[in-house]
Amino acid sequence: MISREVVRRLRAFHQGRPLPRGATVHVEIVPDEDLLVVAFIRMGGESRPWGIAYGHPSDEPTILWVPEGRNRDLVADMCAQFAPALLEHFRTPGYVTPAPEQWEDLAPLRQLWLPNSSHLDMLHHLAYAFTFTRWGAGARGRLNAFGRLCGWLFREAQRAGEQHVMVATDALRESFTFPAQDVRQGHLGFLLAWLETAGGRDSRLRAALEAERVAVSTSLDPTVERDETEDLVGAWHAAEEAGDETRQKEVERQLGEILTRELRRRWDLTVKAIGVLRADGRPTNSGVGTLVTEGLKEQWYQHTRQELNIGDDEDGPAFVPSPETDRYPAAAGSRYQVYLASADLRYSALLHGDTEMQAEAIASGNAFRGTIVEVRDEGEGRKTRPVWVIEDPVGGQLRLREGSWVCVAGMPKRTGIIESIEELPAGGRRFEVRITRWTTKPDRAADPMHVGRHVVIVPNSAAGMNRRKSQRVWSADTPGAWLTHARPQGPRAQLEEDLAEDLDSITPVVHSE
Amino acid sequence: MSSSITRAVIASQSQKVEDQLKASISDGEPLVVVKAPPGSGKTFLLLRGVAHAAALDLRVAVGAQTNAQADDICLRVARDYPDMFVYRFAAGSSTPRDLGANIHWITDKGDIPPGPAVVVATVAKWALTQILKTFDILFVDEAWQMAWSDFMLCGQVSGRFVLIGDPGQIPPVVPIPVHRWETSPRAPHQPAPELILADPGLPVRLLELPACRRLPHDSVDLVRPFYDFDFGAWAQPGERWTRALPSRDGSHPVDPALDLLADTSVVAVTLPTPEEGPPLELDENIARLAAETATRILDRGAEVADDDTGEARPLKPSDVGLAATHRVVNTAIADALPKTLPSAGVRVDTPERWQGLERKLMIVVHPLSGVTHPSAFDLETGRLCVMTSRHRSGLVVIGRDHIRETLETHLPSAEQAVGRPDVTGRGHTANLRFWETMDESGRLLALT
Repeated sequence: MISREVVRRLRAFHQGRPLPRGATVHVEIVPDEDLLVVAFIRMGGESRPWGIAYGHPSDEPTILWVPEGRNRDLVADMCAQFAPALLEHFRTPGYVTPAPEQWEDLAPLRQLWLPNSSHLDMLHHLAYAFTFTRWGAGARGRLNAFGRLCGWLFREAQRAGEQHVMVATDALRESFTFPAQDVRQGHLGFLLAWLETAGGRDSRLRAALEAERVAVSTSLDPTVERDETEDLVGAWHAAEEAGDETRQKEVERQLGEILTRELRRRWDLTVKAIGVLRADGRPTNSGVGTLVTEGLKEQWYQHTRQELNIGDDEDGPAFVPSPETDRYPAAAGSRYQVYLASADLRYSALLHGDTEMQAEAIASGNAFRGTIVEVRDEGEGRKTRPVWVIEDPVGGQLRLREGSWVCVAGMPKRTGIIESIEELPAGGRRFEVRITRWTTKPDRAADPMHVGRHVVIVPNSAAGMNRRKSQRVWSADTPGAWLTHARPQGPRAQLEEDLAEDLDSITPVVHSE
Repeated sequence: MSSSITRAVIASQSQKVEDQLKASISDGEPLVVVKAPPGSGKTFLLLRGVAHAAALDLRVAVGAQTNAQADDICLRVARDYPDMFVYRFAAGSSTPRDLGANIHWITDKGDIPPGPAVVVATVAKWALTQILKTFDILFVDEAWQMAWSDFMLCGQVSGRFVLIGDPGQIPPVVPIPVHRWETSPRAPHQPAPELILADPGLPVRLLELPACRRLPHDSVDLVRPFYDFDFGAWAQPGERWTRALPSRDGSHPVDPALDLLADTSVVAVTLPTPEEGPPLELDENIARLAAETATRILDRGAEVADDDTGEARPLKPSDVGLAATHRVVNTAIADALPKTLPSAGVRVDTPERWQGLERKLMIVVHPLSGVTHPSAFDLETGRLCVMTSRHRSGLVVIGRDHIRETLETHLPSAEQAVGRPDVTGRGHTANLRFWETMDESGRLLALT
């Protein structure tokens, strides 16, 4: 945690309430019809769901559950029932008409909202369970598609700046600083109680502690499982063995009431979190639109295109990634570069639209604020080569160096290179920044009218460079490919087809031998 | 190998490594990896290899990790190989530098000659340039700083590779979560040479430079635990030292530590840890102590011996470097120095920036000084290894006095993926051994 965050947290403790974090909101919240809320519960010791609640915030949720969470057939049936809703929501080919043909067809953005990170982990479990499953006869294709979508959603959730998968606790923490330890901030009820309870610190804290006692993760409260469901599950098995259908139905009804109550609470809290964020008076950061566009392209290249089985020259062949890892080197290398690019893009896109983030960047030495004291044009003939001399009277720590690529806050296209940094005798620094892009618009960078202007200079995004790397890394028609793109060898290199991606479907595209 | 091997043995072994490298190049071997301890002559060996390849009329590409390193290689060529013509291939937006009469600055790939040539660029430049004609061989300097995903892009440059680097240094910066690739056979964030060496199926020739030529004899013993291979010390015992002259203006609490430098090349100085724990990021007292240590030793008029001659030379401000892992601490150190010192050449920087550089005397803030609950990141030894291997004659390590207790009571959790090495556990052991050695050999002075 950096010092500024500590100070922010201490202020929240001092005031006894959550404080807004950032001058803008950093997440997109789409209209109800494009937003699907999903909550899961699972039986203790199991990774797959016992029950699922899903629906749009303005509608009543659909609630599915099975009487025995350890019965894989029952769970798979339930997932096969849920699958079409999720597949349709994300415009998966075969589940929506007409099928998308390009990334623009995926707009407007569709989102999935989950209560907390344990529900996100459930997507990973579902990907493991169903991506390559051979179970299900008629439902197998649907379950495989469902597993692939869950896998993509889980991977996408790890990409910085993505806007498809929203974990409600993370969205709240991104928008507010809470007066509580990190470990407690994974509880959605706890956070909402801090935000929604009227009164001072004591009443908020009391409400938060009370809310925290009720489980919101995918696991049921152990006391609920032990005192309420355990005997019923046993009774259901006994009735099944006895062939007593009436008793079985009665037990199922009782179990259903409990599981529905638990699912509904998780679903309702998530809807409430969405409401809190929608009611926030801060504007949405202007950079969020860029992140949404980036997300739609990712959806196309990493999910929709794969479903349509369309290879791409720049983004590699269509194949089903393993839920565990990327075993083919180009797939791993490309995704890693994309994630680097995304982290950079997120920071850059949001930084330009948020003055508090800029202040943080200045405090941590990633940016500086100063006044333009001189403008020179070192160009020859008609070619302009503007140089701004900027004085920062404060100084402080600085990560930027001579040679660093920078741009003007709020004007990401006006880029430049720091040519020199000089410490001023009275303190502070003097920078010479050569403007390299947007030299003539929206105003001439070489115009002396800029003298006296206050500017914040921030790092220029390197996202484009990483993106280009992510595409070039697929190129295996190179002399060094025998090493760099060699298919993994040795133990565990080739796994069963129901465990991992089919390397044969990737390698022939890039290796002719 | 012990650090007491003779110079004759080291010279012979170094020559053997050079001969093997040259033979590999001549024979067309596809892949050579050279492990090198700090200050062991990496660039020297790299340029020997480059010159040999150039003499064979090969098209030679050289990849450096930063523009500064690429420029440095060119400067060394200009100094040591004035007859070898080299192209410095740089970005179009760069400002050309005069690196020597035989170094030609180019920014257009069309200016790279189609025939035999030596071209130096950053690996990022190589990665993103669609070159018109591939090279016969690619030399990569500081290869342990290069992530596998970046190395993959170098496959378009050449089909033969020589990777030279220091495995103890700071691994590639990974600014994003990488759980997805922890079990990948080619984890894209891992140093490229590590993945290559971990794959027994690859036709790799592994060479190891035999000795550290930069550090004083006893310093080599201290940094060796940071490495997974053995190496010796070129410097003989007692040959390199730092002697602060008697004080003429009273005393300073750090004086006993500076006096110790006459007998040992490394000393540690601690300040008491406040009851509430060390300051989170900015430890003003530690920063001030580091600055005062630099000022004091220069005020006392120290002499150093830092080469094979044993000849004493006065310690100048430009011979002194300071390092801390947090920029905010470095800023505080710089602010606490007399204004004349930075302009006279005293340099303050992070270990990342110190990689590849050296000074006669280094003053460093121990990376765990401000940490009482070390994370995997804190226990990674690269930063400490870099900080403790930049000096030619003396090193002062500064920190809070909780470090040994913190390490002794800390139980690192094995959070690595199944089948992956326990880097955190190894880092913990190496960190503890370093501090125990300092403590038990009487080189640790506690200030009050």
